[in-house]
This record gives sequence, structure tokens and C-alpha cells, in this order.
Amino acid sequence: MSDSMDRHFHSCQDVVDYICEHFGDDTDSERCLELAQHLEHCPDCNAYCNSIDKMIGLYRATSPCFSDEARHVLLDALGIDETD
Amino acid sequence: MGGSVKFCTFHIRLNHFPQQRITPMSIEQEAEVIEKAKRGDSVAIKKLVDEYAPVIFRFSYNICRNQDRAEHATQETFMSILKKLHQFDNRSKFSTWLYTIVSNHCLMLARSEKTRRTVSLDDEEGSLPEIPIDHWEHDPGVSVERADLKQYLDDAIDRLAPEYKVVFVLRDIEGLSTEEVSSITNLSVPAVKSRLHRARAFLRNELTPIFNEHSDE
Repeated sequence: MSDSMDRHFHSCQDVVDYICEHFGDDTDSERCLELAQHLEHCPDCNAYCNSIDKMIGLYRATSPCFSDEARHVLLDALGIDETD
Repeated sequence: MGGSVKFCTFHIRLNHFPQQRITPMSIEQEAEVIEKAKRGDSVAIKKLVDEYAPVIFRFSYNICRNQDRAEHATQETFMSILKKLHQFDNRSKFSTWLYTIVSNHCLMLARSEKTRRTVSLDDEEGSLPEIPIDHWEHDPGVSVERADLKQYLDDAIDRLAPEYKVVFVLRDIEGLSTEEVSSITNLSVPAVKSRLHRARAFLRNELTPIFNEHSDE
């Protein structure tokens, strides 16, 4: 942990807590700038951040599409003629 | 949701996989379709089905991780949406209103399943559990076709309590903002962040064994 991190993050545990809470946020806060600097130099935290990204990507990747058959069944249940 | 999501001052690729998403209509087009659907116009209702049924299905699937149940939940939810459509007054985004209905429906279904074994992550006022910082060496992109990986994903999220699952799915899979998730779930922003923190850490931790195991292959 570099000295520059001491203002906001006291340990790598603080960093992964922050990643878990703020991953995907769109912010340019001072704390985020320090986080970015830390990730550049800490392989453990960088790997953790990447693993959160991978996990979310996996859940997205395994979401199936709504099939034509399911659409047909839904329209039928709603009493909608597909040829309208 | 192709592209990237900004995290702090740098970008992280969040999704490399195509998804069915809401195809945004203009506000005027959407309002016109909704007004016609309220009057029972079948073409307008079909337009709503084509725009939003894939979203409802994807959300439902990620809550229950079962295709048949997700299709059934989509049907039930859509019938409910059409019944309540006259209540929609354009004061919120239609997608926010829709996610509120489907979230409540999925939570009701999940709570009715008494056999579900979920892990309690409650204690929002207390300190957060320590998160193990271990490496994932294996590239999940290679594994995504593996049946056992999908089973791991299903088992992990199935153990997550529904209230946490809804927040995780809305924020990370559907890509909504924390503020939108707050509005949909009727939780404060800090409560959403707390649940998101616990859900992400839990799921990441649950998936660690398979990545460490496969990294030795």
C-alpha cells in the first residue's frame, strides 16, 4: 500500500470493499483516482476487480434470449393474433 | 449493452456478449403506443410485447435461473402489466414502472417457494464480512459453454436471498443505475449499495472454487 493511498484506503480489504460497492459507477471522485492508481500497482486488487467484471460478464452471457415459441405462447395467452 | 461501463476514471469492459435489450422508442412513440394499448389496440400491445417481453423474461430468468419458470413468470407479469396499464401516468419511465412490477412479482414467487435454501446476508447495519482476495486464473470466456460452469452460476445465485438477487440483477445484469434500482426496489441508495456489495462479494466468493480448480488444468 503506497503512502498516497492512506487518505482513503488503509488496506487492500478497503479497496475490495470499495470495488464491491462501486463497481460500474461513473464517477471521477478523488477516491476513485486513488483507486485507479492502486490497481495499477497492486496485482491482488487488480485481479479482484477483474474477477468481479468476469463474474458479471458470465451471468450476462448465460442469460438466454426470449424464444419465438415463448413469444407465440405469450401472445396467445394475451389473446393477440400474431397476424394483426 | 455492448461497449463499456465507466468505473472511476477508467473503463472496464463489462459485457462482451450480445443481449436482448429494450429497443428505445422515442418518448413520443412510447407514449402513443401505451395510450393505444390502454384502449386495447392489439397492434400496440404486440409492440409492447416485442419491446418488453424479452426484458421481463431475462430479468425473470436471472432471478429463478430456469427457462420454463421464467417464461411462465413473463406471461404472468405481462398479463399483470396490461391489467395495470391504466395506472401508468408517465410520471416515471415506463421501463422503471415495468421493472417495479416484475421485481415485485418475482419476489412474491421466490418467497412462496419454501424449499429454497438461501444464505442470509442480512445485517445491513453491521460491519461487512471480510472478503477473501484470491485470484481467478482461469479465463471464463473459454468456459462459458461448459455445462458445469452454468450449473455453478445457477447454484451460486440460487443461494442468494431474493432481495439481494433482485438488486444484483437490476444493477449488474440489466445495467440500471443505483438510483434507478433504488426507485424500483423502494430502498434507499445506501441500502442498494450495501446489498450490492454483499451480493457481489458472495457470488464472487461462491464461484472461486471452480476457477481455481480449472486453473490447474
